Amino acid sequence: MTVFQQVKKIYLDRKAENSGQVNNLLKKLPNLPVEVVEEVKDIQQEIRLASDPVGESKQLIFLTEQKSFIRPCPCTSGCFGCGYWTLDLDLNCPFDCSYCILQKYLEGQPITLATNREHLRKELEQFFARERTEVIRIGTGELADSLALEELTGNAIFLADIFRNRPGYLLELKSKAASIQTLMSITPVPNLILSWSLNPESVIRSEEKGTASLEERFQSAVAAAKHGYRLGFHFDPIIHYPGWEEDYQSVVLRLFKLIPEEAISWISLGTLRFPPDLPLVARRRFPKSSIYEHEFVRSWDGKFRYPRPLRLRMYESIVEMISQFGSDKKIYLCMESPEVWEVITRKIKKGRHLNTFPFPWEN
Amino acid sequence: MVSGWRRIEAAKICGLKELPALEIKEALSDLEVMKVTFFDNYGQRRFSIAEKALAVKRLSDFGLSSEEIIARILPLLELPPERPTLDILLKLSKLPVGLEKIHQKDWKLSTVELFLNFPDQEQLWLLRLIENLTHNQQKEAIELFYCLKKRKKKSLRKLLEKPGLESYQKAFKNNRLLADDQLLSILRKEAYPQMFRLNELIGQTIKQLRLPEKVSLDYDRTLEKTHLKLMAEVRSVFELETYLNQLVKSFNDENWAKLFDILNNQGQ
Repeated sequence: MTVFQQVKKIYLDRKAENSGQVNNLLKKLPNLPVEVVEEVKDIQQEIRLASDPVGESKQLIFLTEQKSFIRPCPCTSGCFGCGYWTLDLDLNCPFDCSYCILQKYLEGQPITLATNREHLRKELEQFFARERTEVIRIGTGELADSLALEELTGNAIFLADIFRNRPGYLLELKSKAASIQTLMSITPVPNLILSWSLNPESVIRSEEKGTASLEERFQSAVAAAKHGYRLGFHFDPIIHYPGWEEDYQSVVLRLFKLIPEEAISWISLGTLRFPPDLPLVARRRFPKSSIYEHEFVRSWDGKFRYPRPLRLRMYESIVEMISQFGSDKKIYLCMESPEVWEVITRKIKKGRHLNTFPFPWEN
Repeated sequence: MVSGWRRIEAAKICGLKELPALEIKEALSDLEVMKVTFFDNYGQRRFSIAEKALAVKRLSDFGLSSEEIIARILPLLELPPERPTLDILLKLSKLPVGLEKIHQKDWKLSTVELFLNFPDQEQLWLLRLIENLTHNQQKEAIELFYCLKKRKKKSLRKLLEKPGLESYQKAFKNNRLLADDQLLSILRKEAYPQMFRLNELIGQTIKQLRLPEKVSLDYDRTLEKTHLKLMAEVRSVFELETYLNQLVKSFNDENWAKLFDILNNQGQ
């Protein structure tokens, strides 16, 4: 069963009725009721009537035109950013992770698919025409999973085609899915990085509902590397629980057993963090999860994080595991403070070279 | 009379014989009367979550559909217009005892939701236990109990078997009222052991430094920032020089190094 088989109904924005992608998308979703609506609010009202509005929002698809697609990754105030750009082609995700901030952030937004990809093409052309001094990293995995709906949308190969022959721009497709069939059918694009979120299988089973297993993610990564794609991996969010270290060690060992080190472009690390209003929704939706019952501190940006000494210990431990395979120079941290960066950078012992890509903090 | 009882009483006291009134020709249902009277009152003062819950229950009993309550009433009550909110309000309105206490301490929806996760018997006990605490302390106590209960996978009774909590355990058994700052302090220590231990250690180390009078050290209690802030109250260059000299002399004290080691997560 593909993830989009959980979809119950399609809503079509009246303004997008004649939009380019509509027919293609509807053809791939036969036998589903389609309702034309004036605006997304009409759907949100229906979603709010469900006993689990977030769960409901993941079963409804809204086809609409997006006004714009590209923006700088907002990161979080007071953090050492990584200069990332986001490309928001879809909103919301069919997967259901207990730690996902979209549960609060999207507030009842159905899975929203952009039907005006040609507009995106134009916006990207303008983006490419801008003056730049460094390699640009851009990705679609911020407000959606980059590959979860690929069989339906074909967005990945659409973007691959646009980014081909744009060597100064690294397109990242970040996922917890194993659906890479469309990407395997094309000649690999050297500046396309296929990346997967990694967590121990026990965490995937308990906290990442509907996603591919760890082994499925690895097997997809192996196939992608063999096909010639470059890869990225994200240990994010790293969860602390009794036995976490052994479990993450196993993931790292498996990663480097299966994936050739030279195929890896980057590895990011980020421990669990969340805004204050997330636990209430998440506890309601995932009563068996206990990730929110840990010791946290409210940090500089208002988000809750594990205490800094614990975060440091976790980062240092995983950096140590990765450095045994010579990949420590490819590590960066996500949404971390300069204080933590400083310690971890020292740990990496200035081993970072420009053979990955120039991070802004290396200048 | 749908609305305006108190205005009539006030007019009588003022000696008025006549008052303008709006005559409603069509027959109003109980539900319509309820809606008019409730929102007439609601416009005059802030309602607590307990009052909102009772109003919603009444509207529901009079036949107002869930859909209408969610879409029209909850936004007017300044509550998230979604089914889970309605479910929480209805559950709260049916609370066998304690609704008045929740009203008096003006709980927020989030506190109510956490509280309703406790089994009935624990709800009763919790309400008695925290009765004397302030609004914010009650909120914190419920959050701490919820977190510890789930983290340790224990009932409240079992949680209270920890040394230092014997008196509260006794209160739990005897259903007596007992709650104070000490309980919150013990719960905090239990819920944030790492931060508690480090802050305690930093506090002790600062004390051992024997800083000059009117000189103090401050730091980020969340330990996210690693720097110390040094503050001195001085009224003259002489005082400033004296304090600085005393400080410089104290740098040989190994507690300075210890302090920075703790802040920088080094050493122990």
